[in-house]
Amino acid sequence: MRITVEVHAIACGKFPSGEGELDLPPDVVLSEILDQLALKTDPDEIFPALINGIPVPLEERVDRKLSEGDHLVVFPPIEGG
Amino acid sequence: MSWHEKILRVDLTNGTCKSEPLNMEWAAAYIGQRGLGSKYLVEETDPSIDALSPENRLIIATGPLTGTMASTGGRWSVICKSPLTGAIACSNSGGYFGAELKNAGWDMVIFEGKAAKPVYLEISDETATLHDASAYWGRSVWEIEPELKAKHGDPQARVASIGRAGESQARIAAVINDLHRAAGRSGVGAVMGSKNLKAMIVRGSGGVTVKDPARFMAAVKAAKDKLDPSERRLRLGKFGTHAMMDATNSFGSLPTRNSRDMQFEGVKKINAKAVTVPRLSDGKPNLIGTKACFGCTIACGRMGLIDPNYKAVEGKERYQKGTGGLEYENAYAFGPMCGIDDLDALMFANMVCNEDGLDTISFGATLSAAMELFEIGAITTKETGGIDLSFGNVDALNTMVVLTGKGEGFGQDIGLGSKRLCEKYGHPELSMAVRGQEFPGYEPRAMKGMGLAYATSNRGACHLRAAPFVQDFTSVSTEGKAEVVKFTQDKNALVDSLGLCTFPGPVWEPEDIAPKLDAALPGDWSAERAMEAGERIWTLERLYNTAVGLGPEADTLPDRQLKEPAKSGAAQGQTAELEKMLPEYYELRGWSKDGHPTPETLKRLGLG
Repeated sequence: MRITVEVHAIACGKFPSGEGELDLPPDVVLSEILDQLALKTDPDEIFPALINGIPVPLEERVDRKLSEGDHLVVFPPIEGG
Repeated sequence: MSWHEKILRVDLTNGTCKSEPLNMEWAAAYIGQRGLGSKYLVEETDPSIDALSPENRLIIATGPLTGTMASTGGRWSVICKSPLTGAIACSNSGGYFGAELKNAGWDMVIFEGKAAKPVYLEISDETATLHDASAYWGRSVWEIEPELKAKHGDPQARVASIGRAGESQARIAAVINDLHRAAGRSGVGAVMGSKNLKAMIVRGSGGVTVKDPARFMAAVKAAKDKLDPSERRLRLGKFGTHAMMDATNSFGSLPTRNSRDMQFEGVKKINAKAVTVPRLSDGKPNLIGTKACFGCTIACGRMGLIDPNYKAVEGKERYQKGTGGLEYENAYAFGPMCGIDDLDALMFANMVCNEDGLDTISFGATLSAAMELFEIGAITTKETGGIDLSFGNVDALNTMVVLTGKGEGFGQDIGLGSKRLCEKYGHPELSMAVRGQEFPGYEPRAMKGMGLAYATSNRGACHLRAAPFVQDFTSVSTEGKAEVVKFTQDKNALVDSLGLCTFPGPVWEPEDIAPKLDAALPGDWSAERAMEAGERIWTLERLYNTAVGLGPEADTLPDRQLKEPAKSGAAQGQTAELEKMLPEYYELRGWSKDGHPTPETLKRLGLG
């Protein structure tokens, strides 16, 4: 299963350019994908994650599976100014 | 301790400068800067005054930690009645001016009355003098700031001034300090202009004493040890606030074309990545460096360089050097809101706003409203002086920012702000504003907490009065939003009253902030006492607004957000659902169901 990934405004160990594709086993869940991205975070930070534009709440991420062609967007808990 | 216990009162009508003691009873309850300045405004003026009359005050306020070693301790505020909203105004700035004023030995400067002719104020430690400013009137911030420093023979002096926008009393005029930092919002620059006050030049050679220096430095170190290694700080330093644009665009909360849309197709040409890409013309990127305010270890500020070959700056040397660059809010307002994806046009507009003293958010959002008025035929080239105000027209942005800065032509109408502009041309519904102040770059239909924050913000729509960002970006529902809005409103009211910046955000919770207060200020300062002061300040502002008819009746959003479903993004098909959050918000605040603080709440806060 292939998905596309965009990572905004944060150093991403997996995709230094901030975007790319992942080839994943079919039963992988969102929380595992986020771990793979090797994002630099502070303890307890919650990263907004959108699948096809829809945010996935924190409590759903350990169960949420993705589908072929899904688009995942991740960004840090950024605040405005 | 931390306070100098000294106010400079400047009577512009009579041309006098007098020192008077700071009211320490009020300081214990309202702390400083936003809180204490608001208390003085409330006590000294009738809320019903005309904001542009001599009866208004212009209060320049530092916080007790401004100018200290506390990280981010460079903040200062301008407090007055707003000519844009009619509500209480507090506009906050960074840079170096505030710390210089504090080091000159003053907690606050209160201007009252109106000078018969243009003047500027010189402060050199304890000496304050009004000077004739006729040689500077009619000229830009960028011209007069270096001239004032040269005249007084002190390149280390700090200047805050108004440009031609403030002189012409544009209701979206800012006060600019250190060339490109702004007390931007709510039209505070117009109040300064209405008083014939062109500038303040300050030199301070003293310092700030604290109650327990050793304990204070330990508290400062503990807070820095938490902030400095945090990824949050590193991200803000590396990407700046501009990084927000990709987040809001992906989420579908980037107000576009006067909030008709919530995602912008041109975002990749103007985002935080675009400013790092070398140009074909000169091989340089727009972003040339970063800059920190006084005492700040974050350095979120951007320094930008426009393409020197860009048509609007050809032959104009003053624009062809590095200066304050693009941040999220100005990039949103000039870019997506106006449908413009030309990076150099955004940079040019930003420079002119700094040069002539305009609030970037209100200018961009008001031009956007004018563009929609133009599109529906409510205004034509007859009103605009021949300018095609179609969304996306780069020439419209380049031309209108210059005219608005100078207060000329149709720029005078833009200078009214979107509420008055849209009312003038018969379509008040097209003003994307709360209490008459234009939206920052967050769309309430997708970011429900921010919608509540806008609706209840005492100074009108604002992204800095509350911080429900994370909760909004992780859920489009209204659940839990009232609680985070109320908490962060009180917390930011506290931080805005200390002389510190809100950008450390959740890295510094009240428990991290209180030890600095406790070591610096007289008395005992727990996190609970500090947060109660924040709540007291919020409630005081609310009472002022209620007295001028901008209390609960103004806790709303434009019809576009309340009735028109979002076309795309995470909240596609949804409206702002404000009605689901307001009752809970009032209850959390200890207010009645119709939005008034109850007698018990007022008594608890010492306001009853």
